[in-house]
Amino acid sequence: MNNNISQVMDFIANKVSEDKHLIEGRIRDLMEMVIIEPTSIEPEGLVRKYKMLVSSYNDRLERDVIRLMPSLGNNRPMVQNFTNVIDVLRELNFIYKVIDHYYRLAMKYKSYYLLIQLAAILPLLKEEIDALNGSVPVFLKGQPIGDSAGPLTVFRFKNLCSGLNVISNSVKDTYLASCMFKDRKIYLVKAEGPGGTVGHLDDAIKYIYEGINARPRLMITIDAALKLEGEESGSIAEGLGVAMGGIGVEKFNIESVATKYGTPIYAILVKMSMPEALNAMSKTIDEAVNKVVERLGKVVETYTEPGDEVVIVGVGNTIGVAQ
Amino acid sequence: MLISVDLYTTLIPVIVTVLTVAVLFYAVSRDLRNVLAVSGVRRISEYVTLRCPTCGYFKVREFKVGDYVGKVDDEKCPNDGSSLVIIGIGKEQANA
Repeated sequence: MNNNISQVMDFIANKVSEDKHLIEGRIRDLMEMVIIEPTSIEPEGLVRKYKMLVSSYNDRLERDVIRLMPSLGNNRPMVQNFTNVIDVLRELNFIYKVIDHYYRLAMKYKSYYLLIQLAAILPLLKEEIDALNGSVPVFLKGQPIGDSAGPLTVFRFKNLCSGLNVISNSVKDTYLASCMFKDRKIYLVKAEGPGGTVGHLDDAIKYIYEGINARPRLMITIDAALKLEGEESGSIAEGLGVAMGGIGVEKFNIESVATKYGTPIYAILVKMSMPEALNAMSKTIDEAVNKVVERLGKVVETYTEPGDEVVIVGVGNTIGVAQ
Repeated sequence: MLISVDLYTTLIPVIVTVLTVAVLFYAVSRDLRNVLAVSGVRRISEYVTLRCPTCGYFKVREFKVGDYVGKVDDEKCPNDGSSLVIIGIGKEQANA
């Protein structure tokens, strides 16, 4: 943990003018920040509560970073990347505390069964911790990670389209544009890069249907997915449904809009391991994205007719990928 | 002077000790080999792929902090002088 904080402090050493000790102390405070889940005793409106909580958390963290280092205020991508770093540090701190808790409990009550359980899951935890550790310098440098495969696909697909029209300032942190591909009108949706953010893809999709009054014939979501041990990194899977991880708020909202307007949802997944998803994009994933772009073109051609409207959503953290 | 040696009381502990040392040595050396295999010298190169939007000329160079996909680079295309655009950033990992 201290090693990670040192990495952060080294990186910002000549980039910000504020007091380094103050920054380090504040980072440690932010690592302790807790988020209390809304109660699910009465499930009505639970998704809206979660959305509000996630939005407040992101805004609060971003504002805290700017308050901590006002000299970064004008560099939004860097603020977003730094917010991601704090998120990773929070996660590492939490894992450390939970492991330490069970270790101390086992020692206190001489209950070695607790230690045996801990030892059993330790290799899995180590993989996750290594992945998180490795992601800190990547987020600091603003490099695309494996999870950026979705936004990168949209970026590359955009180059195959003609008549690009950016629908600007419609949704916060989200890129929305329309273009023509083989006589179909394509709506491109991704988080707005190159700062590390996942955007508000559900709001963008709602805007396409209810703001622009478009009636897409098909919606295609592209995302990175965790592979099983026997699967190859960079392998591609196609299916139906919204390809999207996280707590499920955005997924629920996209499904609701698609169901309301009767739009089938197609999914393309790029398989990768947890370390690959959180670390700098490997050559295998980079090459897989080119294959996804080809498949995307074929899916659009196969399942829609000329004159149809199609929504293509690049799901994932858009760090290091602009539009 | 004759020393009476009881084979069972002297040899068995010796054999057990030798075997224990051998097993421990094997286990430690196997772990060491595993660690070395994982943390052995690796060449990691972070690369950037640039493309000319006009003629499609490709170029790969080392990643620099501040690079991002979609960035218009300072480098020009040797064919038509257009500014190259970053279309990919990746990491190549290979054992040296």
